[in-house]
Amino acid sequence: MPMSDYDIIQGCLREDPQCQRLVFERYAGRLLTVCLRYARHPAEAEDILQEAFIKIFEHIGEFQFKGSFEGWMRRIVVNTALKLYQRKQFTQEQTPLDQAPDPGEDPQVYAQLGEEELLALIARLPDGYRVVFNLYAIEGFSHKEIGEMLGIQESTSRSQLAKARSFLQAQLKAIQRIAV
Amino acid sequence: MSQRHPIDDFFKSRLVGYDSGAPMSMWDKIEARQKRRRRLRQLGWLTGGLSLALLSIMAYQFASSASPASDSPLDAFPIRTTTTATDSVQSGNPAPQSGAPLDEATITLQHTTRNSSRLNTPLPTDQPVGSPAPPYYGTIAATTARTAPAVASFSATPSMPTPIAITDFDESYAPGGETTASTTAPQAPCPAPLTLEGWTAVEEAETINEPILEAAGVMPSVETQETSYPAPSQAADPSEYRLSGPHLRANMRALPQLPQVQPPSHLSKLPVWRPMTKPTACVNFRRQTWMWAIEALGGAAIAHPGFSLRDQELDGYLQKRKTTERERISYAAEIRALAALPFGLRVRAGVQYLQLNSRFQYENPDVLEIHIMPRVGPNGEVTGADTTYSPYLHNTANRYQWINVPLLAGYEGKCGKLRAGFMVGPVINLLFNAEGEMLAPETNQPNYFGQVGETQVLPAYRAKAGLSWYGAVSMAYHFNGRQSLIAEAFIQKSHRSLTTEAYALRHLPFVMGLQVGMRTAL
Repeated sequence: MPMSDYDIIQGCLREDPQCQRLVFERYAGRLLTVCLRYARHPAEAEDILQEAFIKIFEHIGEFQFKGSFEGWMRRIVVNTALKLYQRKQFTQEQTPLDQAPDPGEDPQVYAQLGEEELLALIARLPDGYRVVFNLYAIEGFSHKEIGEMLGIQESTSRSQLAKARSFLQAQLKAIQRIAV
Repeated sequence: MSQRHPIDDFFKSRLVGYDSGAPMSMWDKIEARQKRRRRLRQLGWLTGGLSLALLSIMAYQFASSASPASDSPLDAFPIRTTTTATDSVQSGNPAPQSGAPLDEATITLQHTTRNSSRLNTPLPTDQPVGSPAPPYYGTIAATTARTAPAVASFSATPSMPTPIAITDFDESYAPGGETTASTTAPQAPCPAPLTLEGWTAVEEAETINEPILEAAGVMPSVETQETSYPAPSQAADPSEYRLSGPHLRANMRALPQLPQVQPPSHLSKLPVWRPMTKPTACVNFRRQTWMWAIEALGGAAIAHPGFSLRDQELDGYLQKRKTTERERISYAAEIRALAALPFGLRVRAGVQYLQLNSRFQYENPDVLEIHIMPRVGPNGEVTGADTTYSPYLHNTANRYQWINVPLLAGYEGKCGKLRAGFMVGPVINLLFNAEGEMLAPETNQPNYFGQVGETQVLPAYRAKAGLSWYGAVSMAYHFNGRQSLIAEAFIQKSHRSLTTEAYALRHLPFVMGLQVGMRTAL
């Protein structure tokens, strides 16, 4: 019988390596997806995940059992990724997006694209756009919250989100053309 | 409520919950890091506990040495207590003749006890030479008379190996009771018979003005009190003549009990505190287990940067960094406490300041340095100018500063005045600062660097340097009672990279240096 989350967490509190390993086996794949969304390349995503798991095991005593354990871990992963992003701002690429494509296309036409390809598309976004897009579109934060988290203006967040959407749509269109 | 864009929903629906399949090799790395953190945490607790224990022992030692000497070390002193001087006089007796036999010698002393009551105490009578000294013997007269006969005679035969140690206080002898000189209780062999007519031995000890005490009711108005003690009945055995010393003085420190007088209530409430009271100057014959010293050192060092690649593809960047940076003379200074244990073992703990210097030199291709040298003719006139162009070298002084706590253990042996030893141990970083300029890995252009959390610079370095390892060989020259000159050659190696994981290179400096300084025994 598989161990419940509660038992695993109790084991992690005792610093039991078996329980820690179980946490990794159960959640690492999904958390790696989160990391891949924020990282520029898979190696960076793995670094983020390692750092995040160290923090998870270190602070697991702070988990209150009030919400989803996976959600709590995902927040730690996102915060770790943001911290790395803030550290690496000195190398941040500011790729200009001169031509915004028409956003009127129905995204369902790209349904045949795999998750790996979608992640690759996100990874191609410039750092600032990628982070804002992830935080807004997938994590569900508001522009105000994003501005506070990243230390930027709300309007900057809005503008970066718009540019990120435009970039992704342009990329999807290009892929569709190649496929056709 | 903001509107959801179709692209947002599309990505969210596809990616949330998607399992990318993390490789198990990643778990091995996480587990290794967990173990390392656990070990560091244990080391932290260990070093913290060790420091605390060292500090506690040091505090205890200081507290023990600051308090007045107790009787226990003297009790343990193995020499038998014997007395060699005997007297037979009561207060007010006439002084004996010069050169009188020993058993007729007379000493009249004005004693001031530690509880501040003044006595005029003649030494006991009928005390046979060589008999063991009881705590109290003979007849002792205690009086509060300030006008006691100012007569003091001291006689001894030349054959006496040593006179009795009269008291543990310093004494002064002067005609008419005036203090003129201070001498310690005699410990050398007694000279020829000596009579000091009309002299009074007065102790230098803390006194409370008697009129004040009397007025306050502390000092009784009783003029004389006599206390009798049983005289030893055994005859002297010349073979028992022994050197007398602080053990005997300790025995004689005790004086007959005075009548119990209750001080007035307003005085009894006063706190008894004597911060400047000189402790009894007795030699502690017991060997101390721990000896303490303070060491202060300063010197120069040179560091090898110890750059290595995190990403093998950036070998070109590593080479550029090596060519653009040159190590310069660095500095180290330390102050630390030294605990000297038995068998030459030494434990040290203190504070270290270490500063590594290097110079960043970059040839900026966008800037040219122009040198114009005037051309001078045979008559001293300027005939033209030679213009040379050279690449502009951009220079910046880079600095890495540490404040560390070294915890070192080692051994030290001695040969005459020289001591030689070695020490090793961890050095825990308290504060770390890194500032300067280097080539950025992405652009290969000069970029100011700093530490994590700093803005406007490349935050390539960690906020804390972590642990280092220290090893040294030292020589000390003991040039006087407490001081020694020290020379110490040391090496220090960082345990982990000073740079963050996000930066392309590891930086593990290896420092070699020489420090000189002074050691002072406490």
